[in-house]
Amino acid sequence: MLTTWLEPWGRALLFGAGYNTSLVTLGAMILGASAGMIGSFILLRKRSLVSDAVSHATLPGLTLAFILMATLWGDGRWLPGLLIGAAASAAFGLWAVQTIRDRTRLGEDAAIGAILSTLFGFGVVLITAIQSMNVGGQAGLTGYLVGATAGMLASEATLITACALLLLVAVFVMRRAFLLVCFDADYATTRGLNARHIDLIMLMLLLAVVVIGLKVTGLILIVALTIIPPVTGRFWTDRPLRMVAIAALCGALAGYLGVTLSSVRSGLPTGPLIVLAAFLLFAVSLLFSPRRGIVATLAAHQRFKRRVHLRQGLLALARDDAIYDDLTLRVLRRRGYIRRDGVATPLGASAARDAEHEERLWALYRNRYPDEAAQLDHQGLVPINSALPPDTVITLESDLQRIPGSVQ
Amino acid sequence: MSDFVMLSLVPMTIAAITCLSCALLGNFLVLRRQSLIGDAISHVALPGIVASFLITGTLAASAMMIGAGVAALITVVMIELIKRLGQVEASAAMGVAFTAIFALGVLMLEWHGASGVHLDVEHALYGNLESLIWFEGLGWHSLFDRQALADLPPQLARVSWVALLVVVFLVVFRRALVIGSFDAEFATSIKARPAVVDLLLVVMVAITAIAAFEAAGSIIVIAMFICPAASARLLTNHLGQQIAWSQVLALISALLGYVLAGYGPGWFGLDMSLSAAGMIATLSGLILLLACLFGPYRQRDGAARA
Amino acid sequence: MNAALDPEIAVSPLAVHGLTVSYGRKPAVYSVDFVTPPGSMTAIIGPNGAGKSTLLKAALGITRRLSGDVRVFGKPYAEQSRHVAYVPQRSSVDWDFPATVLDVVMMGLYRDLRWWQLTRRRHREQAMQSLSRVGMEAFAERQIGQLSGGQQQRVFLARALVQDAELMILDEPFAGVDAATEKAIVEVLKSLKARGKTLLCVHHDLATVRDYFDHVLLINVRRVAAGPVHQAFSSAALQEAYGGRLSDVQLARIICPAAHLTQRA
Repeated sequence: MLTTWLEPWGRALLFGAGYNTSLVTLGAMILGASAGMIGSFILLRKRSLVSDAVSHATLPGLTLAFILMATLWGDGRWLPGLLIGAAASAAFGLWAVQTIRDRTRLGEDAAIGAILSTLFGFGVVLITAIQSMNVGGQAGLTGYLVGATAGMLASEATLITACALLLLVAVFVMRRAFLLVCFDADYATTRGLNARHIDLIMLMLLLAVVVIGLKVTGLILIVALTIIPPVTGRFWTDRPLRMVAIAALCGALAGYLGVTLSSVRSGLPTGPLIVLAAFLLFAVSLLFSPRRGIVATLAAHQRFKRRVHLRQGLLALARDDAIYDDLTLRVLRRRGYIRRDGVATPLGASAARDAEHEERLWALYRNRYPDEAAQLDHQGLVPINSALPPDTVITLESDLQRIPGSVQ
Repeated sequence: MSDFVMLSLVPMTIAAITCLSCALLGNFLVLRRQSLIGDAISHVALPGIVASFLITGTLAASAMMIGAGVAALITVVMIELIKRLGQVEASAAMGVAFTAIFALGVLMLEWHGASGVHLDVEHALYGNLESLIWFEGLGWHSLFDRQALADLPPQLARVSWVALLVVVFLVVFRRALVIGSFDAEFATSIKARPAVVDLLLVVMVAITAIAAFEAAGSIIVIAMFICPAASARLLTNHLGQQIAWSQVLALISALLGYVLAGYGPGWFGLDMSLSAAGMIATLSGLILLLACLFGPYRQRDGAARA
Repeated sequence: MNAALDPEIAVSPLAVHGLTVSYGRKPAVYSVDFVTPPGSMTAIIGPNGAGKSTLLKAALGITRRLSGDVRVFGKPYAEQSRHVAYVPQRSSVDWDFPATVLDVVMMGLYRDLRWWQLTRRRHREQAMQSLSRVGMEAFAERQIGQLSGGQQQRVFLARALVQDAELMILDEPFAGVDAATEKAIVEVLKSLKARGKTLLCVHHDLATVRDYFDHVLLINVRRVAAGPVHQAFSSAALQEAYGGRLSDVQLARIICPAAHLTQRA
């Protein structure tokens, strides 16, 4: 069973599954990369779900274009015509979201939800109208809902690949301007950039990616390609351009895995497989990314919490305060600093003295060098020897001996 | 006119009840700027239903509802996890979760597509309001005929119960909902438990979405969670009036939308029937458009911007 | 800390012990101990990012604390929240919410109204009464979005007044309000103190500390100093809390505003 799967998949992975499949694979990869890139900027703008509105808004244009072409030529399946229609209504949707957000008291979330649902609803009305008309090729329209690459013509695949490549180049060229606007639109304006125009270009490129992707992943799932890879990228770096690059890589990888997997058996939908591949990359990052992953974060939080409790417990021991906090007691007991009945062991007593001494040194440091101290993230929760250069510590030590009890 | 009772009365009533209950909850979603949670939940109902079919092998309503409920729950938990533990911005977290689960649903559906299941993506999105025919409804007199009433489509009872539940929820939690929506920190300090109320609201949204989804499709659900409440917000500055307006507008969309879809083409001499769910959604959008253009309270108040 | 053992804590409206809060891996508040004296009017003072608001939010259970213990009259906050009224920062809410001034003030009555109870005239009168104490009764039916910053702050204060709590906690009540409002709020707070209530207030204007408050808590992530104003509000403590960012002239003005005034005269 497994080998019957692996063998054709392996062939597809090496671009050996026929000209069309290879072309579609390439197209999906480039599409994934450009969606990941433009999506990263949209994520930095905190407007990820705008693409949801854009994608749903393509439906009425798509169907109107179909109706128009069908009445003129008897067949409405010509891809460029459909995409132009889709782009037009998506642009309308985008404009409507912007206008509602800027001109009324409604928030962007309500604007997005209202536009996506009503334009999609209108599209559905048009689809039912088409179904009552007597024209050919209507079944092809539903392919735009969830994507269908299986029956794609070579010319269509070429068109999609070329457009995606063009978009990729455009995003790459604009990356620095986008970044400036994402961080500080006002500053960008002082640098001579027209922030509004750049914002518009950004949204137009997003729109273009969504429209190009319609045939590959379908209109509901193209959203995923503009959101999941950027979020994945965010887990691996804090530097924006690197995040854009990682998002592009994840998007391309998702496209590659998705299309090749779907070629293994007929009837496997491409869109969902691409999205699930992207999600897999995301899930791995969410869990295991060393800087922001859940495992690392939880572990660090636990360590930090124990460190705080340990330090507070030791200081309480040094000052002979009673300790009632369960976790503090547990932490102290585990280290052998206190006995079962809560009395400090000799080891604990000496650790408490050290902790208090260190606390004094830190207090003195904060007093002497307030600005530097304010920049220390850990606020003196780490051993002072590991955080400050030895000569500073020695100076502090001698100062502390000279003025005993002055700081506390 | 006996046609009307048999073919249209039940779908119209179901559409109306569905729209009313969605719009009722929608008021709070719009005020909390959480409108898109309804969008996310209605997208994942499909995967839930497919999964429940694959597991139980039946298309029984109860199994489907449970499946959709579990899917909604998983989505909400996933969104929270991604948001809190992954420190991802809320809307992006939502986008990740619901698209991935929807993709899984479509994949499962297509994978088993050959087995001839009566389930498809379009069906789930558009709904099948028109197919809810009351075969025993031979005329208005059937409304008093116990036997005929027993033959009413079960969806009617289901959406009615859910509507009742929504009303009870809102009545019981009205103050906590308002305080939590306006000022969550203050709400915590007076033990109004905004986090719990928040969760309950999402659960209610899920229940409503699922019941409506099965009867009317997801597109109507998303539209009704947002459009009537958003339009109503632009018509008044008073919460009570806003809720009342949202109900009026939802009812207008439902009834007029259904009539337009079913009979509209006939008026123009066209022989076609349009999707009622789509038409209702479209109409609610048109109402919102009018509210955006002419609503007396469409602008933010001056001081609120600061 | 054991309430039974320590009489000071048993009567204190708010006592925190070893309170630590962190956002991520950086502590925002570290191991702060503070016992609010009953009937006092205490200012919480510190530079930006010193954790003043965080300290209050953690004490009220709004922000989760990493460690530490919080007592209200000797018992955990969850049991005693009735005795505490909280005035959040004005900027923390969306003032575009569809509500009138009266609606917002009535929120303070949440605990007195079960879900089956309707709002009665008695409640409305209670709300109107506290509105008149902040000079806002004429605005009762006004939309909250139409209020100025100072008026918004007065409404928040009225909402807390209607709770009739023993301890009132205010987060930056004077931030961005006009002089008349500041004066009106101080009057209300002082009248509360005169009736034996306790007030705890995040405050940012060092120059008015001596005029408005009788106790201070200086923090900068850690507790720097606490006590009666004439003891704890010293230039050494201020220098430590503000990390040497205050000039001598500033300090002189803060510590001894009267001298400064006479100089100018």
